Amino acid sequence: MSRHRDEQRGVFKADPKAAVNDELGFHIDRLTNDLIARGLSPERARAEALRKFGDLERVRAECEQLERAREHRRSRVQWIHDFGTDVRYGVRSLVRQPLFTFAAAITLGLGIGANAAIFSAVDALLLRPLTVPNAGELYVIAAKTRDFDLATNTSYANFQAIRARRDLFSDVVAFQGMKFSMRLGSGDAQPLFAGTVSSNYFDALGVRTVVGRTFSEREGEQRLPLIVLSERVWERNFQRDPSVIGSAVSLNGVPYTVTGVLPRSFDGTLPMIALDAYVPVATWVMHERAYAGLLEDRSSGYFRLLARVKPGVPDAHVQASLRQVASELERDSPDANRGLQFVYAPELRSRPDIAVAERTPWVIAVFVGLVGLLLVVACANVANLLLVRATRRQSDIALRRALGASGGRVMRQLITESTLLALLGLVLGALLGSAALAWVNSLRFSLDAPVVFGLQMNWRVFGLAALAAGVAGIVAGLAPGLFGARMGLARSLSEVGRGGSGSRVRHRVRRGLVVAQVAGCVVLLVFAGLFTRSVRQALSSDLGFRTSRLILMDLDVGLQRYDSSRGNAFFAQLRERARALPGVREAVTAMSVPFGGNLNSASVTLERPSPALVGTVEAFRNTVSDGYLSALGMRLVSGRDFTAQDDSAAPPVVIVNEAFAARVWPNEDAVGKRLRTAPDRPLAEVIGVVGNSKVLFVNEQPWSFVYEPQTQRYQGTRTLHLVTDAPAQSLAGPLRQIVRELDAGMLVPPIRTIESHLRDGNAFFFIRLAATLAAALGFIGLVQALVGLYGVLAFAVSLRTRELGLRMALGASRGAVLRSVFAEGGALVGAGLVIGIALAFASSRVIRAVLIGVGPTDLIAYSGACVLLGLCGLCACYIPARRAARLEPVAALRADG
Amino acid sequence: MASNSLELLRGTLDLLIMRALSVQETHGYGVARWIERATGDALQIEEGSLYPALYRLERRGWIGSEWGFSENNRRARFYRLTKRGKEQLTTETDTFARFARAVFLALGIRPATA
Repeated sequence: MSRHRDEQRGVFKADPKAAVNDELGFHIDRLTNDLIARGLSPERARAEALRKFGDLERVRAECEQLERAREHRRSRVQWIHDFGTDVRYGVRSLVRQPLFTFAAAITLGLGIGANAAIFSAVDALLLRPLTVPNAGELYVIAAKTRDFDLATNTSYANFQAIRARRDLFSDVVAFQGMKFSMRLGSGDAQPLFAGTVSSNYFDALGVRTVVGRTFSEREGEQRLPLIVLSERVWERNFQRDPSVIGSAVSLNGVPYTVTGVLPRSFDGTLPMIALDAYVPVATWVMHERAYAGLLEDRSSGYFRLLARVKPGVPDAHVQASLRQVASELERDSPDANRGLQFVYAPELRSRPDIAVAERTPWVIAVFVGLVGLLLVVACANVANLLLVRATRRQSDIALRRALGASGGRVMRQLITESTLLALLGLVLGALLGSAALAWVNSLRFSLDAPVVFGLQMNWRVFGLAALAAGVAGIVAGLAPGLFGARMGLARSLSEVGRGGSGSRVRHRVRRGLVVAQVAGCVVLLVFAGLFTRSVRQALSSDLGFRTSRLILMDLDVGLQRYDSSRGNAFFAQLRERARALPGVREAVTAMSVPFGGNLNSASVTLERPSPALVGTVEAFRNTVSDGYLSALGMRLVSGRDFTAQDDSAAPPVVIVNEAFAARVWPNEDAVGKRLRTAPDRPLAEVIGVVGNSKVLFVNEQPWSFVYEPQTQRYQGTRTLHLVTDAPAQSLAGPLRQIVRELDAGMLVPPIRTIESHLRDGNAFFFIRLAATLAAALGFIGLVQALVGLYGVLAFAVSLRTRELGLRMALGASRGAVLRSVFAEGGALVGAGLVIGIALAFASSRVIRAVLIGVGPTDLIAYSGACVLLGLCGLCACYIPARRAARLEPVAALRADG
Repeated sequence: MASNSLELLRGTLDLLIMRALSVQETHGYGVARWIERATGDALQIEEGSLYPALYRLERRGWIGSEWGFSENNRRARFYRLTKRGKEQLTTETDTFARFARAVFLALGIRPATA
């Protein structure tokens, strides 16, 4: 009596009707036969059997119903049971091959993680609209003038002129971030970076508070000291206490009344900068002597503008109308608005800044292209690895099929295994992606403004990347099952051992893929090398001023409501005492630091205008102490430097740079000429010309620059520059002590070195980011290429097992076998290197403009990439080569895969 | 009255089926023959009613089944008592015995060998 378990009943169709029919039919037939055996005629026996059985149809119906329910239960239990088996089997086989598992999971993880992180960043910084109602209506308006051909901020008067065009815009807001010194009660002063905004700001944007209310336009016009806090500050300084509404906060010594708290979802309208609070700009300027004339100053470039365009007004009409407004403004005040043009673009297409926004899509495209490529390569790699392994296991699969496992069953097992692998990759991807974003979020800058990226994993993007990788993995996982199912069982059993012709074709595809990966990796590594070398070069290039052994400290005595004589006395004492510190060679002050955020410009009028130049000359300006130029290592071309004698009693003097002199007096000596740096400033004599220095970008054309002595033009905000050989940390404490002794209430910001100032400044930030990103992508590309190389070589060795065994049996040495595997790997790497270098050569021209101090064909970057890839490639060859060399000839000849 | 006796009969039938399977694994026909033999053919059950009872017992997990081939090589479903079925048989036999004793006592009948 042969039987087999119900669960293994794969041969029989699970048909409840047939099962019941078989079972009941068997009963009646047996009964009939027994009765015949007892002597009844077949007809009588059948009738008697049916009588004894009872109501056949009723029983049949009832049984069929019960059987269907049983079948249903059985299949569910069976499925769960099989699933458990598959998972156990899958986990076992993954654990048994840790190198394979690690390679595949890390490949997937890097591909998914990099994509999710980059897309999340792009989405958060560049694609996500502002969190205000109808954000699509918001347009950035910036101004260009003849002397400053870079779209930038503009004056309050220009803002009002634009706002008056109610036919175009339902409203326009003006705003800018400003550092304040905040005091709560009798506590320490702490910095607060607040928006100084036109009083219609909240109404126009439609921003609501979580507690309290915003200030209204009328309140702003009345110059009431009101402040709206961000939720961050409310939490940090007030522990979310709702009773803060109506209480006073001291900003620069002026009490402002808190009216409300903004929700966390409102990030403000400055890109990447999270404002701590908002005050009406009119109230602020009323209390700040340094900014007293700001709203009336037609040449100021303080305000950023954001306009809410009326629905249905065509772009062309707005552009034309803005041209008209600009020409009217130029006619009204030609000096301040010479050559005025407004640049107008949707807010979403003005990031990170309208001046550079037209390049943004290209930058995005490059990086999205690179990471997209990475994901494709990752999927191909995983597919490759799975195929390699599947080939080794094809005999196993063929055997299982021969033993009666259905094709579907084998398939399911393979899917389960690839899915496990994909899950592992997903987890790694989520971890790596989140870690990358957390790293970006943790970047801190030595700027006044709180830069907050607040990047979060975009799980939708993550899901898409995961889906792509998952599908690739599963399809690749299925391939061996499909081949096995298609081939005749006997054929697949016999063919596997020798590596069938089909797998040879696939192998060729795989080798091509590895060459492509190596080539892609070379491009990524070359780019990484070029960017990294650019950063090096930029940091060590000649910027026209001292870039080492210089320590900076920003101070603002305006926050303590000093007048000019008190301010001058404070800084004079500070310099004197700082100079006495050990290791300090010189202590000077200046209003701003090159590559910093606090740059000012001047509209210079000449005593005797040159015929070539109409009206004012725009130039950057800095007010500096005596000794500043020499302390900063700036070259005096002619004339003399400022001295302590150039004070308010002495005749007014200025120093200009070579670019200014060449532009204004191309064929004359600048020294001795006279000019005004502002309409209300006295005529000052040019006493010297200094060499050009960089101001905004490392590879910029020289800007015109004028320097004024602080003793003649008072400035409450100054940066102390210390020339020193002592390490910065050793000076932090003594400096703080000096400031405290001079004024206990003074806000003492942390000191920084010139190196960190430059690194974190705008000019270097993006190239550093590019270098970091390219290096990260280059590293990932390297891992991918090595995994691919390893996979292909391992596969090749497994295909050639018999051949290698035969050669060794015929006397080939192990060294010869080792060499032959290395030769195959070397050929792949070599081909990839050649193609990669050609590609890098062709494409690096695109980034020529961004590179600093290195050419797009920089030998070091290219050779570095080749050496790195070559060495790592040899390592990737080693494992399969060693396996080949360790083959036992007899075992290899018998090998089946 | 008629439905009551049917209820009684069904419970009893389950008990008899499990008892039959505790002796040997067999198909439905074998169970029918065992009951016939063991009760001296006194019960006269409709043999068809065995099958729904078998299916229900299997659903409760008291018996299991597998397909196999009978002595004359016909496909048939074989039933066996599961571990839980064995326990169930013990308790139900006990319950039935107490029930029967109580009824006998009430009716004033002296059970022959109970």
